Amino acid sequence: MKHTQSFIVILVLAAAVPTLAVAPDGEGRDDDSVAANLNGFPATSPLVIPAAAFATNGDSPSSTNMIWYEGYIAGTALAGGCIQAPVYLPDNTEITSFYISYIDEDGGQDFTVWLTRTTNTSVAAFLDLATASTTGSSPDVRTAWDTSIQEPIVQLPEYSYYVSTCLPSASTKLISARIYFESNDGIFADGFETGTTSNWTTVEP
Amino acid sequence: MKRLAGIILGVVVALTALPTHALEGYSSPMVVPAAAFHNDGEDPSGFFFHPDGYLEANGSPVSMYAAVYLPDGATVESVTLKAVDGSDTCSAQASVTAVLDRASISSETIHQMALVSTTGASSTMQSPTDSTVFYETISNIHYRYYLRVLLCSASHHFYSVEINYSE
Repeated sequence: MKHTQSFIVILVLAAAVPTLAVAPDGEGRDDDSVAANLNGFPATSPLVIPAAAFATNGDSPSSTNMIWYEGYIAGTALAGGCIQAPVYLPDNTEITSFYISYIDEDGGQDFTVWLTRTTNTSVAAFLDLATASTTGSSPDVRTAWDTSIQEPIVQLPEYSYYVSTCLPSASTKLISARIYFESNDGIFADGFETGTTSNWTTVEP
Repeated sequence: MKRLAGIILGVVVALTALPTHALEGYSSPMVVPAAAFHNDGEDPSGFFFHPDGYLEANGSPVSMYAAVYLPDGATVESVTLKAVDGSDTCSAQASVTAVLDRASISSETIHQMALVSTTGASSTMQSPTDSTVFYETISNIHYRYYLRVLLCSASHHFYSVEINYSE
């Protein structure tokens, strides 16, 4: 093959590589891209929520500690350690998976991170969409995930979305939460999210 | 040359077969949940984020803040508060109030854009709306935007603020 031809092939492949990139978490990856980054939030899946986005729930403000030089939020010797962070996702997208990165060196206690929605139209009607829990004890950064998402379609302004957890000790550390999502546009974007025709008024045989 | 054309055609076909449809992106309304709000530091234990997804206070007035991100050039049409205002004995802050402010990035000037408050005492969700918005055009170059929510009682349950805007 001539050099010119090789150069053209390299150019074409170089253009293709970003599209073929695989999300590091594997499951739940998607190749969609968000058309516009209007509000300054990440334009593509996943939405990464760093430890710095979490704030105390006010019950015991000194029961968590943001370790800025290592990028995680840890529990302390005080009881409590409950924190939360908002989740901003585009309306009508579909959540496909929920991941956390963490360090859990506490042999006696694990912790769970919840992805939750609460209704904005009635009182205290919340639903945990996904949960990811730590296990065992290790100084390593590990990952937990949930790919079974309850009510995965983002509906705004009907619901608010947030991530929360309680870090039971100084040996439990949350690094980030990641939410993978994809487009829900098309024929199932108007209340027929089941992907079947069960909600259709009439169905031709 | 035919071989080269075949290779390029193969790559193009492979790319075309990938799911490349774009998402719609973020759009109005902007819903700022209770989980986005943090204390001003005056009373770091004066509030509680309930696991059900709302903020409540502990009997004394407390201020909570959240950043607001809106597209540059957008027009804020209205601000709606989602809150429950149950019976309480707070006189200094008898209702749940949300204020949308803008602050200049080059001075200490603050402009109040909208204000909404609950009324009366009820165990149901209230949705007061302010459609008279001042300084309604977003200019992210010159201003920063944030919400301020004022609570007092454990029966004040703040859920979210909904900001409707047009582009």
